[in-house]
Amino acid sequence: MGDRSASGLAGASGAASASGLAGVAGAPGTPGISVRQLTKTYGRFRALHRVDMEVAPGTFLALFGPNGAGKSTLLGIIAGLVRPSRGQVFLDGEQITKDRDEDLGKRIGALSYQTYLYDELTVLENLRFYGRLFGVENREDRIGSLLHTVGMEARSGSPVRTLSRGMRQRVALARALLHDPDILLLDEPYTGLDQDALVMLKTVLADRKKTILLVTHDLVRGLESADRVAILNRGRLVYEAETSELSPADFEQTYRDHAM
Amino acid sequence: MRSMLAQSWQIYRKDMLVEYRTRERVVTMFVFSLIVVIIFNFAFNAGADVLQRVAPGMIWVAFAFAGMLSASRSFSPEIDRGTFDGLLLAPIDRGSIFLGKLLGNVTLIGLVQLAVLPLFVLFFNMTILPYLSKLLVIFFLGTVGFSSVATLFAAVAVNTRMRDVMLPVLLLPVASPVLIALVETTRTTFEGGDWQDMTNWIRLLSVFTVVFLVASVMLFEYIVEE
Repeated sequence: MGDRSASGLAGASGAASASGLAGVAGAPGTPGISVRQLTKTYGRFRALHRVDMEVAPGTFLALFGPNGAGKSTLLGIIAGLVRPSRGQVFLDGEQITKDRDEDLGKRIGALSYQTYLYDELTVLENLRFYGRLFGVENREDRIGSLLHTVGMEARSGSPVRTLSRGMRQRVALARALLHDPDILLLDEPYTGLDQDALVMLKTVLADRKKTILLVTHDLVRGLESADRVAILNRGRLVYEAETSELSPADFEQTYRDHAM
Repeated sequence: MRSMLAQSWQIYRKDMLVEYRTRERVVTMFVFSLIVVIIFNFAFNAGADVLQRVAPGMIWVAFAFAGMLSASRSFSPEIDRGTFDGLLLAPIDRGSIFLGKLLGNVTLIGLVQLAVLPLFVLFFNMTILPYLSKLLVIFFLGTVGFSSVATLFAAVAVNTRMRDVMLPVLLLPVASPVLIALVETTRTTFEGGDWQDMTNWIRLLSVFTVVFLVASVMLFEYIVEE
């Protein structure tokens, strides 16, 4: 089953060695995401506790866990939105948790249940605004192409407030991909999407040139899209495996064993 | 620095477009300032002499509270709708977010001043034209200085549970020197005083503005990070 116990992941080098990435991810000049001994506390509450995790370049990792497990906090730290209490995160071998690197934003695309879109602006105005902030070249062409990809060309002039939840999520996907990031951080990206949009999202996520970290409660979708799965519970990484070694039924049982 | 200003301009432009479509902040600020003018006009219905002595204080009470409304609303909708994280994810100096928001607040307070100051003149029977150039300098310095500290503290307060209460509690003690200087310089101007009569107050205003502007740009990154 490829099951790795919590104890195997808690050690300082446990995640790297166990995943076969020891000495690769996190080393200077090496791409991918490397999380080392990451701890985040809010007052007395420990959201993350000594998390070690490796996501090799081009890998799609789906991260599962119950509410309050620390999944979104982990994503927030990697995205540079949340400062960790202890530990480090490396992107492309560079430590990003020490000093904020402005260019970090160029490498990361984030899509969550929050669309980051302004209701009062039109779809096009939102994408142009973010395109300017992210320094996107050939902005108009890029926006046009992404609106075509997400099927929102016809609504480009509509204010975002007039769009349905699913349509907003499509535009948010276009926003996340606008600057063609190497790394995609997805926090419940399936929220509100209809069947067509889910197929479109699946196609986008099949692009193996990107390193993808997905946080979701949808075990089936996560399992069918990802190369690797991990379970976070009470701030600790308690399970990690290759999806090729798992069947949906086995994984549901494994999830119940580790997350309940 | 140039790219920082360009990024600030993008954020400012976006904020102004949103405000143009909603008119949420500017209407609230205008109505608040108008109510202050009307209430104080009735409260001090004691003759032109008294009115002119208290007018500078009333003007800056109205604009300070209108400024607080503007500063608070420059962050709270972004936090509530989650768009602020979208700004933080961008590959920009976070100081440029502060500068964009500051510029927005200065613009809106300036617009409200333009609309309300003539009403002050009308209601309080004041003469303004001979002192217009001096007042422009004082109002500009004061608005930038007050907005700098208000924008910074609005960013601090917006992530607290009692953000509406926290902003005045944090802001007013720190902004008191600039408000006192503004009242003194405005009063001296209305009394026909010259620049020499208010040198120390102008110095205080200038130093306060520069110190808070620079400190706020530098501190903003640490304030917005969880």
